[in-house]
Amino acid sequence: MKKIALGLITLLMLQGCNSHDAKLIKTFLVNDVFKKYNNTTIAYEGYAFNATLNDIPIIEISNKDKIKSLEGYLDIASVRWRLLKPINGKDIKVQLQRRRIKEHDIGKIKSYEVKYNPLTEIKIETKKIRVEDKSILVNGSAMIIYKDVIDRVPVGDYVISVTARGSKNWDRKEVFVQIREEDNVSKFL
Amino acid sequence: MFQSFFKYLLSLLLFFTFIGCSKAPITNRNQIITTDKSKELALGKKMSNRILRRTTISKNKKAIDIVNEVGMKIVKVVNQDYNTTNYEWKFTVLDDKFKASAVCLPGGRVFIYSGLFPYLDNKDELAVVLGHEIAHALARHKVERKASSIMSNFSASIIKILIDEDKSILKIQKDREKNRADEMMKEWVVLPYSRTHEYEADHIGLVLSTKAGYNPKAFLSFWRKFPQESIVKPEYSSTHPTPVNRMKKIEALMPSLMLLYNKDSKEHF
Repeated sequence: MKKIALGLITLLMLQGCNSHDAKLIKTFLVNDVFKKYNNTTIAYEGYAFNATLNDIPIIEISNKDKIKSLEGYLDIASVRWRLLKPINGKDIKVQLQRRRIKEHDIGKIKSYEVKYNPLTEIKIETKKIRVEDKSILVNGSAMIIYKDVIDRVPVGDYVISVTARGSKNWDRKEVFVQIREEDNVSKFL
Repeated sequence: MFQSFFKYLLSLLLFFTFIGCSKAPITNRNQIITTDKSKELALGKKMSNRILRRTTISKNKKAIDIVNEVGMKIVKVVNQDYNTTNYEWKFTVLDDKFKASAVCLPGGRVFIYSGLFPYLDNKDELAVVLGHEIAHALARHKVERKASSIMSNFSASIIKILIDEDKSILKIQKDREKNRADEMMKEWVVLPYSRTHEYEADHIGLVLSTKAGYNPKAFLSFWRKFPQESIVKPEYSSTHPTPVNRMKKIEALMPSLMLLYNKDSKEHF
């Protein structure tokens, strides 16, 4: 059956080339359609870089409907990514890698910014630390003020926004992330 | 002109029929392979050196030990059932957190990138990955692809000559149509062929890992973790099938694999 199909395809191709009516080969290449589609979908939606949080990769979401905590989120359309596994909220390490996509290359990554947007009610226990605030000056000298800080991201579900600024352009990933206690974070290797 | 083409085509077919016909292990699929084993091993060594020049070897002792333990258990099964005396099975863990993949070169050198580790939750899932890679080497997919690319290049060149013959087309159009002929061969021949190899490596790899005592159901739990469909790289433009299609194919084999697992696990544990 496969051989017959292959034979027919070859015949069609040869026929297409030989015909004087069809001056150009009118073949359907899915790639042509894909290229047009691809140009418009990757801009500023997080496809220009890869990222990991605590070595766990950020991957594309295939089925948003299955994530219950995203249901009430207002900007759900922008969330195209999720963290593969839950992580612990202490000392979150973010690593980025530029993807050299032809249509949307942001260049060498110069800096990045992370914002945490909680989806569920979270309990925040802050502590106060003394910091020098150069935006408040007293006779030209900086003022010492107290700021509320937390040493770990509280347990809960979040949409984390990771913005990468490159030498040519910028891009952002809106990522669904689950922060859990250490005991509930699996690690095999 | 057509007569000479048919002569070429016939001689090429005869060449492949008499010189390069073989069968893939377990699936028994007919293969056309024109590279002999010594050249295949040399190719593997060359590719291995290229990978090692680009990436650093991991020092994660726990990962190295587990990868070697699972890998060598599968190799033991391979050596029992097949003649792989020329192969030098070796497992190497490479450091690249952003690369979630593994590769097995002709001759049996297996590389696994640390970016794959977050996707693995137990030894069964690791066995799925290593079994798949070992299957690529065992079924000699790399050299088979080489033969298929000779055939697709030949077909593309026939089309190109026919385009050149047509005097009613402008030169600029001819060049464009020639490029389309190359793309057509890639989309219709090369990529589907590569996906066939992936499905076959899934099948062979699972039989091997199951025989080595690892649970074949780990295949499904492993592939569920990946994005099921990608809008950036859909299946028709990819060398690999989508996880959904891979799982569909393996689900059909699961009853027989589970029978094998239940039989073999009694022998192993």
